[in-house]
Amino acid sequence: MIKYQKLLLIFLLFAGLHSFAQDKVIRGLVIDEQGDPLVGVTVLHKGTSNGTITSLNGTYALGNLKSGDTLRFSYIGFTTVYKVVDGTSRIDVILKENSVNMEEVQVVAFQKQKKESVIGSINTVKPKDLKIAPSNLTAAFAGKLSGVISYQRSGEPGKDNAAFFIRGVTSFGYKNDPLILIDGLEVTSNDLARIEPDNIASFSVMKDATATALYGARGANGVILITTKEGKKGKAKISVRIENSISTPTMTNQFLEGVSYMELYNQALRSRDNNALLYYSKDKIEQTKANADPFIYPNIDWYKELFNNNVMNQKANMNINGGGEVAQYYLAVSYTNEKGLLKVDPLNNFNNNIDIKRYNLRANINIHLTKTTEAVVKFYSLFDRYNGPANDASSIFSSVMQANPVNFPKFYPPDNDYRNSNHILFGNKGNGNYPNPYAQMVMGYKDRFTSTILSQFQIKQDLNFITKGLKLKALASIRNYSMNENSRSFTPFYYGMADIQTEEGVLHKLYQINEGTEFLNDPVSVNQANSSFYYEVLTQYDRTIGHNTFGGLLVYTQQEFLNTLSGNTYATLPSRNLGLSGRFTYGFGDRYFTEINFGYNGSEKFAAKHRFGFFPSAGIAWLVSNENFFKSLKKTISQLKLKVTYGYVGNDAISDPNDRFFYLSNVNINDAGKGYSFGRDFNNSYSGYLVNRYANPDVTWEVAEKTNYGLELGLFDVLNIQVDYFTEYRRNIYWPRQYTPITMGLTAQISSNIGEAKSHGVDISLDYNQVINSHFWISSRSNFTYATNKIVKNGEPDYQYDYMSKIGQPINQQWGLVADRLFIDENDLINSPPQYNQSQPSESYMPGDIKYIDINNDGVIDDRDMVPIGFPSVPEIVYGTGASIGYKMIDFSFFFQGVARESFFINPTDIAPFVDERNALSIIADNHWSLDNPDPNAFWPRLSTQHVSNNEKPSTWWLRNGSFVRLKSVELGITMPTKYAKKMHVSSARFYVNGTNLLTFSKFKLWDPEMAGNGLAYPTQKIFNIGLNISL
Amino acid sequence: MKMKNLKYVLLLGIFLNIFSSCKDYLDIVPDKTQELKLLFERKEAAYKALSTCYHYLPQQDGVYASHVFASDAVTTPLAQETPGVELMRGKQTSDNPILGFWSGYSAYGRSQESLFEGIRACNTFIENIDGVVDMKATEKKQWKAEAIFLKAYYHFLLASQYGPIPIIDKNLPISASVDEVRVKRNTMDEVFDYIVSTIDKAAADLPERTISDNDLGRVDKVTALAIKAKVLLYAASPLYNGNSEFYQSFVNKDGTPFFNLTKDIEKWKLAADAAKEAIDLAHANGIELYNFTGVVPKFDSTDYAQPEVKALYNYRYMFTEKWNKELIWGNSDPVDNGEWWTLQAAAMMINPNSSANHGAWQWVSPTLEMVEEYYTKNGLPIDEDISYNYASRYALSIIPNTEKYHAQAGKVTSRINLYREPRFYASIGFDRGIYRTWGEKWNLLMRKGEPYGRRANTNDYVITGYTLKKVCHPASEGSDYNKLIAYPWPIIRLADLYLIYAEAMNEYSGPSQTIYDYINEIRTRAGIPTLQDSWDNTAIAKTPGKYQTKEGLREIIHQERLIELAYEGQRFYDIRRWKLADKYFNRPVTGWSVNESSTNKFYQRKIVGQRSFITPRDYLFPIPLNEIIINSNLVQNPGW
Repeated sequence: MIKYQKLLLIFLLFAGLHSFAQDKVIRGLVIDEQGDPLVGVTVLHKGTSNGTITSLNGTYALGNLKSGDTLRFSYIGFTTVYKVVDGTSRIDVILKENSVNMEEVQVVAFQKQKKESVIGSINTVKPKDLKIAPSNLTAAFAGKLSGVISYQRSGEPGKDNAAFFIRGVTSFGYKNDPLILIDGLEVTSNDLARIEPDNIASFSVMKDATATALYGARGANGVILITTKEGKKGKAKISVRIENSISTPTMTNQFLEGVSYMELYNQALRSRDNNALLYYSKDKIEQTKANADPFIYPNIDWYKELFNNNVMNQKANMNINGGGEVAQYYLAVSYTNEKGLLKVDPLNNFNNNIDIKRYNLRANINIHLTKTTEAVVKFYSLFDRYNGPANDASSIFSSVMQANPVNFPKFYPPDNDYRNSNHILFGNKGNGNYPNPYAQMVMGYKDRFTSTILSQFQIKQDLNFITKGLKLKALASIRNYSMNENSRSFTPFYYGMADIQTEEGVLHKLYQINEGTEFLNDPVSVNQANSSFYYEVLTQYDRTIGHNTFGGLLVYTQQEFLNTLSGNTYATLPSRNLGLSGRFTYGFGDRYFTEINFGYNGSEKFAAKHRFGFFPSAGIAWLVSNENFFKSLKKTISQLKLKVTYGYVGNDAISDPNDRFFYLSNVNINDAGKGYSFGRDFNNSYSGYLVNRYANPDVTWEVAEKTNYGLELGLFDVLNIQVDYFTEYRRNIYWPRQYTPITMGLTAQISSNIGEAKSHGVDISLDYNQVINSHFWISSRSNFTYATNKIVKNGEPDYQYDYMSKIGQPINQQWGLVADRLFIDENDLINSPPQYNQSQPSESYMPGDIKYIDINNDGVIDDRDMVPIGFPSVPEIVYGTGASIGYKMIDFSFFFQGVARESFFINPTDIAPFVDERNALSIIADNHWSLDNPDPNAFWPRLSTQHVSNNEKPSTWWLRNGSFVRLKSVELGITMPTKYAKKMHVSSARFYVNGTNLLTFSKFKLWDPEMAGNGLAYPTQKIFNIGLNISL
Repeated sequence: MKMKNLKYVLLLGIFLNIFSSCKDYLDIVPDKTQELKLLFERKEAAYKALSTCYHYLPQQDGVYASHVFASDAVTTPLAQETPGVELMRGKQTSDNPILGFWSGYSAYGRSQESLFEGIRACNTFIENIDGVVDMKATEKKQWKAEAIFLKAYYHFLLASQYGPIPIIDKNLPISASVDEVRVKRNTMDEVFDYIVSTIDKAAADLPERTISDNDLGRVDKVTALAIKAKVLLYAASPLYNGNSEFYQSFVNKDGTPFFNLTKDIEKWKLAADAAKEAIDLAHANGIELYNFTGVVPKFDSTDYAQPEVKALYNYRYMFTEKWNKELIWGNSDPVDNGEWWTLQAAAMMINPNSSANHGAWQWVSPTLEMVEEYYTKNGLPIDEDISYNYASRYALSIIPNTEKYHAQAGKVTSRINLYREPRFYASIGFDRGIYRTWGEKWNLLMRKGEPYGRRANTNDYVITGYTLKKVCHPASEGSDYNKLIAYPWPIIRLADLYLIYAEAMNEYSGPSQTIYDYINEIRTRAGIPTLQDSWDNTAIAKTPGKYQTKEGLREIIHQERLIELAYEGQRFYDIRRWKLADKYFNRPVTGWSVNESSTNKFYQRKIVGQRSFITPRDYLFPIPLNEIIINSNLVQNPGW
């Protein structure tokens, strides 16, 4: 650095000789929003290398300027500000905090690097962009992270994690989701979901080989790396945020009302059998229509009876940050309360609705033990109290489909005979074999306590006394998770309404169907616990000599995962991994950069000779914009960087945790199901053995070969474009050898590293940031991710027909029949190849049922006519775009997000109306084939009161395009002007309202398209939120 | 500079040190986890390996796995269709094999795993048993012989369904390449030769007879020789011996014909000799045709004096009395007592006087076709007995007092149910008949609405109007599953061996006194006159002396076999082996009109089900389609 300054000085002297006009000296003070002086801010004459840094009291002085020159004030963690030199000689600047530093340094594996020298493909997101109303961080990913394919299928509180894949699904093996690291420690996606964006210092997604190679064993599927905030010197800063939101389904399923249900049910019966007796009598239909007696002629809207329309949720968090010379701290606490939409019966004194209370505590403390030694302690704990229904909440949503509106009410009021009953008289009929969703919902409750505790200790030592630029760091982390759950429920009492024929006419009389329990049955308990241990020793060396920048990093890691899985011996053994990784970087003249990385990792899963895997990678980058010849272009193209990386990354999570130690066989040595008895009375019994897995010592690492071509482009200093094109070839995917015939006599399929897949795609991100003047700023961010893949090898047999092969098809490709239309008439039926027939004539297909195309022309429609149809079930394209605008005290932002190239099946088995007297979606009444309306393209085929298996095969008939675009979020904020804030003794205050999932645009109208085939489950939520954020 | 270097070295040293000391860190599996080799260290553990070898024996008394239903002799109501009935209805396809041993089959209760798995278990056992520490050499030899025998037997069961199969004499290693695992089918003769020579190898080391109470069910030399006779009988039979009619162009990929195309009569001789050897050894070990020796229940204490009643007891207890003298090899692992999927429960009649009938489903229905198969009381086929008015066999008839031991005198039933041989009465129950069951003697009233007839709205009923007695132990009670008396399902019994000998000998050298003697022993036990007494009686025999010609005797032996071994799971294989499936397995299933309550309407003959058999396709099972796809060296059976 000193050398640089000397150079600078010399340059300045020369520059001074050149022009006498440039003699103005500008002085000033740089402070942050709180008014504290900022030390070390770089002040640079834009477009030149004339610059300085602010002093200990935040002041600066820079000469050699003239009017019209632009000054650039930049500081790690703050938004860069530009000021134009005018008549005055004093320019004071307030820098706004910007929690992620986009400009100067970037978090890379195990360290930080100067951003301009980063070669790997790493996407960094401002934590602010991940702030959303739902208390689930993963729900914010879609469209916000370039290179991440993400979607959220459920809106159920506590179970609403989005699925996410870095650069799509690149393996069909066991694990294909990314490695998630919080402060270096591997955590689950649940941990990620619960992290407060306010506590995040940096959030990075590492995508290519050089970025992930250091995680050798675990990085093949990409890495999400989060570091939490640490304390900063200064007086305590307190920030408080309070939010209150209203959550409501984006769409609800529409079911038939009672009278139409009965009419259509009768029609369905006659539709298949002309002579069928009508099930619902005219009298019942008339009486129901007349709203006669709601208990004898019920007409129940189960959805309404079970669920509230909306629910209020609260969130509050606070963090304190500060410290002195020796120690700095960052403390954060937060509380979240999330509730579900389920109704609670007043007769129960327990709560069967989802009610989650979450407490989150984080303490990060940095202690400077000596001038060169720093100790860091991090504590984190998450306590989660869940209360919810005894039956799964999503299944309660689905159960609305299982009960029709007219069979029985949710409960009966006790009549004279039962007036002393101390229980709810749940409705049912016959033998009580009909599902009563209300009973299933209020029959019990479940509570669960989950705690996650994490402690981390690290010590950093500057080893300048050995050689300049050498550092050593050691870290140890322990995480413990435990969960206990108790589910308590009654056995519901069911009652029915009997019709008794008397002389006076029909008498309706309540009768008891079953004897339930008035007391809670024994609880069903589940306990789980697991712990992970992580150790890391790291040494780092950075040095600049002349134009040459050298860097080296060597890190040893060791991790262990223990868990309480019971089962066979193997399942109870810990998972372990250890590795030595390194990175060597070399840069020349701020223009040419190169790096070589390696990961050398061992996993407990493999045989000794295959235990270690070596994963090298390398990359080069050329910062074209720093070339001399580029100087003239710099005003328009502020940055241009080209980079290429190539390398290998491994994956040892190639199979279920129970299926490890591939070099050993897994034999159940006491399998009663494989035994035999001898003896006169057959009681000389011996159990037998079952080989669950045959030993295969050759099984080893799954390896990803990754190539990345990147382009970074900065335009006019306001627009940053990052484009990456990647290819990946995945080898050694652990996969069953499907070519092993039965004649081999194996009781378990042999799997080995036979699978191969390749993928490619592109990620693009666009960032636009412009401060127009001190009152008006605008920023925008857009992302686009496209990732597609293909199976290359999977050990499949040579299929009879090419289209049956999965090779060459995307990993998540779906197969199905090709539906032509509905059969028109009997002739049409006779003239077509036979389809799926059943022994029961009532379940066989008829005119009005789906006609399929005989793909292989063998004269029969069967499973061999199934071809790849539609797009994969995981979207290939995810994109998002949004903007924020601030004017004086008001800021406004919005974000659109969409997915494309995804297909899903409506599951006809789930929504087939009338089966076992179940409910019917309104769309079926509106749009079905009937003799009066023989529309060959109706939504629903000929009605039936039974499953018609011909119609329930996966086919193009039920395939839907999963693409959609939605207005993911809108936010309006008002920041209190500083003078008022000062009066109220706060340093800043912002009030905001926002909305999530407000609008959805899709061709699919039945339910929220993001739920895909899962439409009867807990719906995706639309959220309106108000919040207040105060800093003291 | 020197100092600096030292520091570097030190630092590097720390790293390498950590790393190398941690290599053991990944060795976390303790020794002696449950690996296969542990099974072959101690005798108690080796028992498990041995029982796994036995485990693959098909469980014929599991109603959903049983081959008893693979026959035209029995059916079920549509709603209760068992896989066997589905097979007979022609629902077998190469993607959905039914009751096939190749891939095994799932069934409610207990499924049957692939016999190739069984063969692998036997080979594993044979390879490893010598390593057991605490067993004597002779003992090891004997156990090994059992596994060798079972391996041969599993090959035989596969061959009886698929014909030429790949011989798996040694296990392929897990590391076997794609080409190695693609085994080829051997020719039919190679398969039979392999089975026979393997049985011979086992027989040499097997004890002559298992006598210890604890070991009943384990194979011995008598078993081995008996099964060998059966294998040779199959090898000599028309389906497998010189079947150029079906398999002229059925060749392996290299052009080798799978079947020999010229009939070799010497094969019958081999079968006959083997049967004789087995019979002699059986006799020498006290095996003889069973006659009832138990305590006669009170309700029959006087009637038991009647020979036709005694014969009834002989035949019913012969099948259900466990480990009786006639049994050569029985499955000692029947459906566990108390389990629900037993064939016996499906066949038991509901007792209207019992408060519980869990173990009585009442839906196994013998067909009218099988009813007609049984002899008249004169020991002649119903169409060969002049005294038995064949033409009006379905007519209604008042039950005369002479039939009172089997039917309710004075009541009306179909004539087909009267004047029949005791084995008919021992095996099949009918409307207005008598059923000794639940430890009682019942008067069956089986028309709709009657105590044993079809009750409203249930799928549990006998669709033909007949119920199956043979598989039910007379003392079983259907009130609960654990009140059903379990017995070892006979895999082979002495009467079978007699009939094997008779058939083979007749085919080889025509009628002879020895053949007559063996058949007559069976007939006598069955309570019918001898061959000579029946067929030489010109007053009743339509074709007198029929037994004296080879062709005549062949027909008689066939029918004798179909009757004697009815409902034992053999009919399906016998009829195919004789190439007679066209005649038997393409008839519609008939029975009475069980949905009627009046006498006249009830006794209307009615088609209650269809059968389908396509010649020659259905003579061999299809190899599962997926197997053909995986293994390009396998040639599919003709027609599939």
